[in-house]
Amino acid sequence: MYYLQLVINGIIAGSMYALFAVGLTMVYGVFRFINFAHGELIALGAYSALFFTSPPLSLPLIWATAPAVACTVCVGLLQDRLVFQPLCHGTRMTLLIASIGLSYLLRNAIQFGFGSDLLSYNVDLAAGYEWGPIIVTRMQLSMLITAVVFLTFLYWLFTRTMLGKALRAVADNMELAGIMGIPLGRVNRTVWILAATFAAVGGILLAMDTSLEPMMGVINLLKAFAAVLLGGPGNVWGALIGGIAIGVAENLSVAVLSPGYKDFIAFAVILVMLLFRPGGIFSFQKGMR
Amino acid sequence: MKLLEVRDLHAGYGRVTILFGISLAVMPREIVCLIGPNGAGKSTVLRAIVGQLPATRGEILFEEMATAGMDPQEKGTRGLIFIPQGQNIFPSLTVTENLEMAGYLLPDRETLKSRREEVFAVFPWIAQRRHRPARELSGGQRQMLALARVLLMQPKLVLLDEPSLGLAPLMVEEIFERILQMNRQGTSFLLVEQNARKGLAVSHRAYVLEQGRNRLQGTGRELLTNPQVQKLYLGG
Repeated sequence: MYYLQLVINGIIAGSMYALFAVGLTMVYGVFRFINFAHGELIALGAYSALFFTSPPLSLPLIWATAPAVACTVCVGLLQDRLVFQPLCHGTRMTLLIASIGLSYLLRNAIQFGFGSDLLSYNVDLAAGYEWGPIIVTRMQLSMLITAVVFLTFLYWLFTRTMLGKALRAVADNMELAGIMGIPLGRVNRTVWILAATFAAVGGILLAMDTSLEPMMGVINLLKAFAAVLLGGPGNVWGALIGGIAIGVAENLSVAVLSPGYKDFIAFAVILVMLLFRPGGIFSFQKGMR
Repeated sequence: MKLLEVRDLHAGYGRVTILFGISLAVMPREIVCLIGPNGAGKSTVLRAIVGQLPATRGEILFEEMATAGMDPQEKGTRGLIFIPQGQNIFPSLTVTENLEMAGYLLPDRETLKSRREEVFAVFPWIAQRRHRPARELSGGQRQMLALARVLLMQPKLVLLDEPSLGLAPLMVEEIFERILQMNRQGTSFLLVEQNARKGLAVSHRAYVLEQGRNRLQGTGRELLTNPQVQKLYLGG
């Protein structure tokens, strides 16, 4: 039963990693670089929600979510417009380094605005539901439901809408998509909007569960990166499974290791995947699905 | 009226010039073929017409309108499409989704649906595999799927780059049969073909290019029997 509890905790933590990883891998799939500033979108979502819930606005958290996500989306689109678009003719390495720089810039901006102390929203969702020895808090349940709703939406978008299909087409072959008259600008913006929305929502949920700190994006980015590698870069559903796998592995490791070491799992996954399966465990399939 | 007219076209990649003044024309309902040795600039001509490469000099007129400044969307809706060589479908999309992407330039969903049914009627195997990912298709089937865009879009002119590339002889026959069929229904083709004999056999007219310049031109039959062409491109 203890192990079942750990697996449940792992799936829920993993569903957050999945939200981050899906966005990260989508950006990779279309633009072919890992956006290291993706972590700061996570933190930015959380901090802008904090801004809207604090004086002078003091909105309830549920109302603060929408403007917080909107702010994060704006930053995501600005990243693209001001940094990545002008550099898109450079090499992948240029974009990668630019994203690392951007990550520092945004993180320091957050620190400048909110300080580096641990902060929280003052919401209490610790109350839980018990099924025998298994306990799931309301917070955990909200995380799981949110992740399921957003990922289902993504599946619907990708398989049922022209825009979603166009997005997959662009990830397959941007040049051909351009030749065929697929509106690249609209598709590119959609990618950034989706990635930023998923990051912000996940960031807010994580901050509700634990706390806010400027470094929160960095550690979650690494988890997401491990999930992306596990699923194969550019593979959206692989990243989803990868995220959950990492969450479960981390939480199971608590049975044998001190919880302080559980971050080690993600790093180990990154190393092992890069060494042995750089194309991901599903590497026989290419492109974005 | 000429459907497509290219006058004194100069173009290249960066500082490397590939085309030094190409001129050609395609009349309505014509199949025109570009032949010539590797590096003659055949594919480059198509890429310049479609706008993937900027023309450094010269003029490209589609239905007597300059195409400079038209994006692929506009060219597509005016009836000019380009089917590149090799990677010309989206492997991770399903077969139907590939057709839907081709229909991005159609006016509405209804047109897309009815044209898709036409494609299914012409290519029953496409209907059978409509929900399979396109990566499962063979090389010939991929080329057919790419050609099915012509039925969907019903364009006036198709720029078609190396349709027979890497295909088995039987498949090549079938591809050219389809091209002729589509041509009979009113679509013009500007075709680049490595297989010069095949290309000339299906074409009304052809241009021989060499090192980015016009070398010879004539009807398909004239060039097929031209001793110079026979020696250079048809293997004697």
